[in-house]
Amino acid sequence: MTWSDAWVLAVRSVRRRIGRAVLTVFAVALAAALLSSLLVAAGSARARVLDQVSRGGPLAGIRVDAAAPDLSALDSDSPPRGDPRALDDDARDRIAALPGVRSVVPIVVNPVEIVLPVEPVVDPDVEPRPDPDDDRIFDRIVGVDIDRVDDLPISVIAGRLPVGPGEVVVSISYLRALELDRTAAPRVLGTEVAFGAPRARFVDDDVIITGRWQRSTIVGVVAQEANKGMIMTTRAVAAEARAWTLSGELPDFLDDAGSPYAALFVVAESLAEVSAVRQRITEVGYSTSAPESLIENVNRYVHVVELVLGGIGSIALVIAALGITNAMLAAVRERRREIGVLKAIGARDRDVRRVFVLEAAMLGLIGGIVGVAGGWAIALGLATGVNQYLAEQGLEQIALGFPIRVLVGGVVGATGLAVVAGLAPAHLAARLPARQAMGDR
Amino acid sequence: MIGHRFAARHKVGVVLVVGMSMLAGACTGGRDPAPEPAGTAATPKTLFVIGSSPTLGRGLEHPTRDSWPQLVLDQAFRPGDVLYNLAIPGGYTSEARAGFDEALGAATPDVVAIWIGGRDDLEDTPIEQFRADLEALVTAAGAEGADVVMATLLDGHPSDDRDPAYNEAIRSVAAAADASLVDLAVVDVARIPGDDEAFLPNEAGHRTIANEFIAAIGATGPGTAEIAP
Repeated sequence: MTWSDAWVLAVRSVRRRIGRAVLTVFAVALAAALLSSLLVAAGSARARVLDQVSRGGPLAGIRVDAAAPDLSALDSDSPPRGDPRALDDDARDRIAALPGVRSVVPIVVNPVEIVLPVEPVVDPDVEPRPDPDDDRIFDRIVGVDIDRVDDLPISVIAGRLPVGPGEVVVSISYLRALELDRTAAPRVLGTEVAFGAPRARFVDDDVIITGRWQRSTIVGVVAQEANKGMIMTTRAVAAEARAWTLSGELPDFLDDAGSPYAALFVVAESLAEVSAVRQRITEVGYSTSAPESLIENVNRYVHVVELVLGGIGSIALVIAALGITNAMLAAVRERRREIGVLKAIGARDRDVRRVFVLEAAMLGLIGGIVGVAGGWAIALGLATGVNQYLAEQGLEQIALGFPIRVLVGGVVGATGLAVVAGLAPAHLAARLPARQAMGDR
Repeated sequence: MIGHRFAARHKVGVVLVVGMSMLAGACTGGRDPAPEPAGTAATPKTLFVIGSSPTLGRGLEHPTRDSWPQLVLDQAFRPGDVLYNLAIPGGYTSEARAGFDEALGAATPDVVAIWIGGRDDLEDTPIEQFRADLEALVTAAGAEGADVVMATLLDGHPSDDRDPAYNEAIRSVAAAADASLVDLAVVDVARIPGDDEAFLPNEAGHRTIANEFIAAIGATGPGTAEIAP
């Protein structure tokens, strides 16, 4: 008997007992759906939690500050900084050349005075600010390489990133200054903000502050942890403001020793490399911080959760497999005469075994495909609901990845388990003597 | 026959996989609309402003918003353009000259607006020195290829008590350098009420001054329409 003959017989058997087959497939599908949806949800939850821990940046990200390391707290994720130490292009190049470093992104920061919009135009329900000085805020402008924003802890909440010198994005703290919450982020898009970089100069004994003012259109709102600062823009714009401030006397409000870069954001080759890279940067002479311990702990806990959820789904799949065994045993009992005829016309034991194994595999395969599709749909529905809630809260939405390994694994696993479940009944059918099979009839 | 049925089942599987892929693609969070990029933006223009207390908006409730340089930046320049406000409160022209030279080391101006001399007038700086300082400013700005706009001192209020020689010096330096002149001495500029700061323009006065400068600069920015006084 060829494989195709065995396949035809298996298909015919399933079609003949379609009700039982549908129920069996349904049981397998439910189990596969449960398993795959749990694993997809767990995987997305892991990604979300790690994203929060890494503040939207790469997991292997390390912040290098313009300060010497505090040698008493090197094991800490966020050790206190030592004395200010300038971070310049030379330091950047030395750190970029260290083993295990994948990328280095400089961050330029400068103090600025920010002039808030004239009117509370962004929200008619907000009362005008009673204190006239409230429309002047002393904060910072943060400049980064926009084309390397994927290597930074920056998440766009609304709008887009700036592309030119006349565009900026603002952070959540800017919204707070306007008495808006995160859900109102789209309201500030398209409005303008002016900011001035100070430059100190001594005239006689007086300090004269002259301002470099720039007006820009707000094109986005970001949650960013690259550096504290209400306004984020291109590195070139921030560097010009920085150069203006540094060209004067260094006033008290500059607490970074006039460093060209406030920080570097380093991405290690892998999470496992983070600790070693931090050690090497410390040897170069700079303070670092990275949530490596936190990420390690989160990974450990989420892995336990995945094991528990996977176990629950697997139990369901085993129960479904027992259902297949039961259905196949019933089929063997009902088809003793057919088995006898097959053997009488020359079918060998292994031919009979093949027919029953194929039938079990078919039930497992169909159940697996339907179940995994259903599980994906369930996860999708959950993600949609969660995203609606997150959107209402003004939080970044989750992007449900397509976990191909879970989905393919679900189908293959269901099929494999069904084959295993069908082995015993198939063996029973194969060992049935032809005479006994016919005689029982 | 069986082969056909098998093919049909195979197609169902393919459709399922493709469908799942499409669902995955559909499951990405939407973004709020943002302003479209302005296209290939021109190089940002740079405006230098040289002045004294009025140029810093002294006496105003919101000097960083309502002073004439900020109004000019808002109305006559595009987002991304830069204003360097080099004004020194109570500054002499000689002090402004030193500050201007320092600023030139950091940026190259496209337009330089000069409105200074009140302190020189008040403290009787020798007129020749005042003229020399002004000429030095204008020469330095011209050497950078900048358009120069000069303004005369306010002279329409009893508190001004102006020596006409200073405004004449400003007019003659502007004429000699072929600079644009904003003759504020003949413009009615509203002042802050009261005796102490009556020489300073109020919000309406700053709008008037800004309009005069915008007209003189001949800017082609998006907001060159006259600011309502």
